[in-house]
Amino acid sequence: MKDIIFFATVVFGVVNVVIALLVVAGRFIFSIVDRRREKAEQRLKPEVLAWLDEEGGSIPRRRLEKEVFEGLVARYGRALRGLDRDRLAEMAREQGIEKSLAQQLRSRKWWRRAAAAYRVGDIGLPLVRQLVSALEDENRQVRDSAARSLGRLGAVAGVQPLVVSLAHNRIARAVGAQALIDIGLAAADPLERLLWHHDESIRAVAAELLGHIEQGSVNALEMASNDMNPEVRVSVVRALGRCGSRTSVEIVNRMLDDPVPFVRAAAATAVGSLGTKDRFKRLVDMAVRDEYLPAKAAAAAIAVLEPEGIQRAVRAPGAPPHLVEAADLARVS
Amino acid sequence: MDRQTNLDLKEPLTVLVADDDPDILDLVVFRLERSGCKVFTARNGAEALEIMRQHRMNVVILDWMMPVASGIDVIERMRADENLAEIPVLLLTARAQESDVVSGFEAGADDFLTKPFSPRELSHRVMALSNRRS
Repeated sequence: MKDIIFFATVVFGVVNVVIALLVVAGRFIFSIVDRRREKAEQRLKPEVLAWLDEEGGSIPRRRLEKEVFEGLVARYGRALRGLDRDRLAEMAREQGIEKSLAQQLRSRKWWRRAAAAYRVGDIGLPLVRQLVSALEDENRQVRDSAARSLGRLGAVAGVQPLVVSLAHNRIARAVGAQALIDIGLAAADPLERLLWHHDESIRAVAAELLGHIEQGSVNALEMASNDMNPEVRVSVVRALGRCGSRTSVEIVNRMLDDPVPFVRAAAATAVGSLGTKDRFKRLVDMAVRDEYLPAKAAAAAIAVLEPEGIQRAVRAPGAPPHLVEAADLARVS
Repeated sequence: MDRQTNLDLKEPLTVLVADDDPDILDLVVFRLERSGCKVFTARNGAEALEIMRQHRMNVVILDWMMPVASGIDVIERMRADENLAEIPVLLLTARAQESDVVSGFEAGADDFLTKPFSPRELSHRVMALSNRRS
């Protein structure tokens, strides 16, 4: 028995020493690589900067230096716009960085694919087809990087795949939405077309994004306000709440009478954002008699539209609880 | 000779660039040096003020959001100091809202450029600011 304990102790001790040595060796190797990377970066910076004046040499052949060079081009590209960014992208294309990144997007290692997808957008290389494919990647970080880069490239061809990825939660909401906002007005037409997609989650995402992108899409949103799916109608009313035109006010006012409570709630919030008092009585009626969600939203909208009036109204005995709550929140905010 | 360069002047323009992002510093310094300017760099607002007190600057380029003292803090301190009050300041910032631009000018900035930026445009603006002041 003693022998077994002694043997186990020795084995345990040896294993610990080996693990400790491996950790130390690993850290040592990483620190050497970091130092080499840092030195290479300092040496290569002037080369990359010279590209801005169409000078400078070709990219290094050694793997580490090549990686550092690509990283520098991407970092500088991220900070640039206009002619300088175009020039950097042109040089990157001529010197084979575009080809190299296209290859890296097919790498077996996900971090290589993610880094490549990120760099494509920073440099401004038009690898749209490859980025759209990367939205289907098994790794979320690769998909997010690809989405971000499609936005940075202003890739209209990326609008539909981005909306589909957003609707199916395949990319982070903030990343996908920002990408579509970055694409800007050019995204409006494809988004309007997606309002008639057979998948209701895609219709809902498209409607909501139109509110962030294009004020001229009110007509399309008006048609979508009659969508069979209440989720889509909620997205439409939220988008209209951001648009702010006279037509959108009329549609939002009409949606205060929607049969579904959470659509009425979204409409009340939108009325508050638009600042219209056309149906103020209806809001008061909702705050007093409607179901919990629309009543609460209507009271909050009243507090926005009539901040002094609501304080007077709640002083009366028997004031509706949602109005009292909205008045209290208005006072503290 | 390129119209924007400063090579025909007897003394090169002295420009201070303060930004905590080393890549931005690299890009600005590269473009300004190519335009014939003498460039000083700082990584934060306090360092920028210290350099300005030691060297005479023709133009100062400040990032808005920097550690220790922000670009706006630096401008306010410059405008309160009679030795630095007249130096033209260009704010280079990622803050692009209309309200930010207004706040920048209200604080005393002379020009405003948003990131991502064009170093060529920046260089032209620096020359214009310097010419306007002189």
